[in-house]
Amino acid sequence: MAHDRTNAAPGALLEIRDLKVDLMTVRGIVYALDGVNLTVGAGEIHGVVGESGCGKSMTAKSILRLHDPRRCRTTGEILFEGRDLNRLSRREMEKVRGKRISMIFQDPMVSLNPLICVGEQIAETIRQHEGCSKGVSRQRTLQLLSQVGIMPPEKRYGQYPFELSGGLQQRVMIAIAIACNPALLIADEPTTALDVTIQAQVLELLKRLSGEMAMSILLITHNFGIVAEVCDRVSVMYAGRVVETADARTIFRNPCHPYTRGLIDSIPRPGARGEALHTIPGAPPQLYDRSDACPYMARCPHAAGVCDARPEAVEVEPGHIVSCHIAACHCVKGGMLHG
Amino acid sequence: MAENLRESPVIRAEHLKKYFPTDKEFLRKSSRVLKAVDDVSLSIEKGEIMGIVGESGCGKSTLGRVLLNLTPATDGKLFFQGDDITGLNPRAMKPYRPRMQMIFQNPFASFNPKQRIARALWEVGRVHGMSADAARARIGELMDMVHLPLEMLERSPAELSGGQLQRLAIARALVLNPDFIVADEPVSALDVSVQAQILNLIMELRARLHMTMLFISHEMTVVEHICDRVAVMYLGRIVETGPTEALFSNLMHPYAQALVSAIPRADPDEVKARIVLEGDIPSAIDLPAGCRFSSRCPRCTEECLRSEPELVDTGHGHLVACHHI
Ligand SMILES: Nc1ncnc2c1ncn2[C@@H]1O[C@H](COP(=O)(O)OP(=O)(O)O)[C@@H](O)[C@H]1O
Ligand SMILES: Nc1ncnc2c1ncn2[C@@H]1O[C@H](COP(=O)(O)OP(=O)(O)O)[C@@H](O)[C@H]1O
Ligand code: SF4
Ligand SMILES: [Mg+2]
Ligand SMILES: [Mg+2]
Repeated sequence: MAHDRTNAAPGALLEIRDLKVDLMTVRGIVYALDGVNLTVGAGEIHGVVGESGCGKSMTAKSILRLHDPRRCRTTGEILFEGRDLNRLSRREMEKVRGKRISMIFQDPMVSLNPLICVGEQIAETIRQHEGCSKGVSRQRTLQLLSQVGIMPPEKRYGQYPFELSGGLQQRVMIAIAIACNPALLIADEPTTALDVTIQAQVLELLKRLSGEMAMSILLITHNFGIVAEVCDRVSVMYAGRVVETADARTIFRNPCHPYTRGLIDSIPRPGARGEALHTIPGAPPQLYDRSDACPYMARCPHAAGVCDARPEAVEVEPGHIVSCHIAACHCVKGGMLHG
Repeated sequence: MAENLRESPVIRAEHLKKYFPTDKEFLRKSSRVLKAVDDVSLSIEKGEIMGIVGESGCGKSTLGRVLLNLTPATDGKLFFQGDDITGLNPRAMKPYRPRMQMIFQNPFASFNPKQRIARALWEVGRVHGMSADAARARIGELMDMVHLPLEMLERSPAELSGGQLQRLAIARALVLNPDFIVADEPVSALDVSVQAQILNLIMELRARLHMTMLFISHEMTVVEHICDRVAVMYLGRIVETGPTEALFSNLMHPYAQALVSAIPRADPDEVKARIVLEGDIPSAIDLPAGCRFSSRCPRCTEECLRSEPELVDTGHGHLVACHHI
């Protein structure tokens, strides 16, 4: 069925439909994303989890079209504020980037200019997007610095990135990202390089900003603990697909996809010292060929004959969507999603 | 000379210090020192896994290297199986080298990319005088222990996954059947499912070989899962240590409590009191006077600013360094 609706589902800010990205590499074509479906609600913190290489960063970069178009082939729709981002011209896309959707990464130093003081970098972003005067952008920067907890703002304004700790650098990135009140912030492993006590501070900050600014966050992480603590909803990715989506609470109380269960069970729990941990055998597949079978089949303890066919997405209870033949039979409480 | 060998711990450190000079700074006459390890005492018994946990820069890796005499201690005493090895130069350390091994965080950096795996394992044995037959037999035995097929020996590191390479790094550390292993963040670079495989392997090998290990990690949950005893470090010093169960069931140091409360738990129903620490970890160059945690401590009082608390035994080997215990 053709979707020519360019409005996302009601209440959704971003709706990714059947996104496929093929990368041309020296070793051949990598089918990095193989039909991603993902919906982020307005004001929602939506987690994306999965092992490394499952396509989390690729999904994030595809939303902002940060790939080299000469080396990748993209199909599918990315509906955002009434438009399909995949169909925007380069100039139109420029206006979305940094203004309506912004992004932060694991390592802030990659994006910060080491030679310009942090206050100026934030002010520069504001001037670029809003064309305001130096005085106005400075005032706004001081306000932003205190909003993201960089105190005292007047002193910090003139400091250079290397003078700040990793935690403060990440706060500077957040200040730049929220400078234009974006509707969506994409945060790709924003706390992975930080110590756990600093991570806690940054996560608190993201949560607070999402509430204050009614800003949605697509929070990419490999840490289920972060999902439990800050996310409203979560999508679990495997081999370039979303295999399960649910409320954050539901994913822990009723994980249906065998992969989700495997991941959650492999986390060491307090009070079980010395017990053998659950493991998932093998490793995620290399994505050099596209197969019709369930991509998890080779590692799955429940795999059966039916798994040779690609599992459809099934809504097993309201808002809880799973792509697995076996889970669809055993977890179904609601109706089927696609007939 | 050795005391009664049966009773000597495998490794014992007394008041170990490791200071680094910092670069001379502009307008400063003398350079200051960075106190990476600042008065650490510990001992590890045969068959024990001792965990060292703390945030980056607190001195975990430096402690591991000093315990292996890979870098000389600035001060303090070091004993290996009862022998005083304090300050031994590389030559004098030679007889001890094969008896101590290390495993690192990044499995990809631990192997020479141009060398097949077989060669990497083989060399360890040959360098230390194993016969070719003995080395071959030992490697076969070890591949079995780390659950990898023999064919994998013919591969090069680039063809293997992080989990497979970390198994091989463990196998390599075991070639000479060492008495003591320092594992420096061996699972920190791995995905959680692979991390679980490696932790299971370490637990299995410990039961089978009675290995003695210093297990370094920044993750409380990992250390809690596999260690017999744990020491929590902050800015070069142990602030709390004890048998794992006793320690985690009754964490007393405010830093240890905050560290545990900051871990995001994969359980939305867990109710917990979150202790949010303000500010950043201070540098180990300009340590605050008094307790080194005082600048971030929610319970800090005047006494804490005045004097540095000593580790005090609260019973059953559970030691805490805090004025307010
Ligand atoms: N430049 C590239 N060349 C080849 N493969 C790539 C490249 N970038 C990403 N990939 C592949 O795309 C897949 C998804 O990667 P990524 O989105 O970075 O994963 P994640 O962020 O979940 O760890 C992986 O299998 C990876 O190997
Ligand atoms: N060779 C060295 N020269 C100077 N400083 C060092 C050296 N090695 C470590 N340090 C410093 O010592 C402190 C402790 O470092 P490290 O032992 O690596 O901590 P951890 O492993 O807990 O992250 C840090 O402040 C680090 O910068
Ligand atoms: S579809 Fe089959 S192989 Fe795939 S996850 Fe479900 S049971 Fe496992
Ligand atoms: Mg990534
Ligand atoms: Mg270290």
